[in-house]
Amino acid sequence: MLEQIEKYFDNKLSLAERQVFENQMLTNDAFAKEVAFYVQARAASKDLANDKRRQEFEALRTQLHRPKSQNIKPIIWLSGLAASLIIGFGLWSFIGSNTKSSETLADVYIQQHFENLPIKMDGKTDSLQLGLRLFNEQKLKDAQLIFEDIYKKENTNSEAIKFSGITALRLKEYDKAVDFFNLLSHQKGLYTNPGLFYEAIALLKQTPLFKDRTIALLKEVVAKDMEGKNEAIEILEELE
Amino acid sequence: MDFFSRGNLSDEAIIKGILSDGILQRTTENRLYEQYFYFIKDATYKHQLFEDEAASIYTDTILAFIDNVRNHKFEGKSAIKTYLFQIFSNKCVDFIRRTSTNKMSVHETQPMEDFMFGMPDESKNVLQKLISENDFEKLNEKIRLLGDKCQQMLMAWGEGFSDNKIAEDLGYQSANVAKVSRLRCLEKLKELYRE
Repeated sequence: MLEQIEKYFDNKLSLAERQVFENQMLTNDAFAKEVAFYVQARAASKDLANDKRRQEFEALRTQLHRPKSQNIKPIIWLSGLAASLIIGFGLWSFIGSNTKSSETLADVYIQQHFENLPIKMDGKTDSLQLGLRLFNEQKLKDAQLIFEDIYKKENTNSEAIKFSGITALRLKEYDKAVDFFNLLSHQKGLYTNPGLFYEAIALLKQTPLFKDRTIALLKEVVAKDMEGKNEAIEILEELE
Repeated sequence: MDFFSRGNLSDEAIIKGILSDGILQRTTENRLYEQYFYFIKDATYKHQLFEDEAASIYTDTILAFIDNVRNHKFEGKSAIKTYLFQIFSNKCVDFIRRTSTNKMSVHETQPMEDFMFGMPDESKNVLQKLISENDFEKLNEKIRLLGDKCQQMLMAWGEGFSDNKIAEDLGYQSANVAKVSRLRCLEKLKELYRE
């Protein structure tokens, strides 16, 4: 019966069928109750989706209250100012050389840490392990499909988010990598969270370089003694 | 691409992002939330609301906007900022009115009127009467008792995604398989509700 009700609301019934449906609503109480249930179930489903999104936005709000976020406006302002200043050739070339060295450091990090990813040796094959195996076989596109698929199904799966970001980085899809690592940095309850540092690494590979944002992220990594602190200090020395 | 620049998103990028899917859709919605986040602070001064209250209203505003874009109710006659501000202000005023007259709504439900659009008045009246007699709170509780997969599927359906898209996102072989599974979830929900 639900299928017939759905067809009505999806406008998939003929005019004659619609009239029969609407007559039944008036004459058959059990049928009308089914229709009422369908409409309310749809509204409840929508409410459930909204509640989930509300929780996610609330988590985002907490993030936006972090000191880093309070500095967003000045950073944007400073970026604008910097953009005007770098029109001068001398300054441009100075920044260019710094960028080069810091980018090289990012390349080294990527090469050292993201060439192969650790696989569990327990013989079990879940999707994540399969993705990692493909990654290590350098079938990066296939690995990406698997990691992103896991993420789509479980959008709080921090491993899937991390590996999606790393794969995007290896595929030189830097914008995507930045977004995944940003998501990772917002994940709660992780023993260590390399999200901020990885986001900075991905930002270093973007063109043009968002220098202020990258520096702010690296400084946060250092100040909070997060994963990647030593490398962050080294890159900051090159950037500043 | 405009979307990935770290500055504000243009109106066009926001609409495109919301109408896309996967990570681009989610990231656009989050960026939109960040973009006009300052509305919350403004409301604490202008309407003398607590920050948590203003934040909750702001979230409802963003969700309403996303919904309007998906349902093509946002026609782009005004800039997104103006449109959002209008919704937000109305919701703030509504909230103040409700709190000052102690008429807090028990539960904000998605207007079911939308689903009944195009139905003859007689049938609509019957339906509205039955709906008012039903226990929507109970249904809202029971839906949370379903398994994860059913919940994911019903959420996607509630948001208006097609069975094709649901099949693709949740790994079903075809739209038809997704549809059959979804209807089964609805039957399960009905059983729980009528227990």
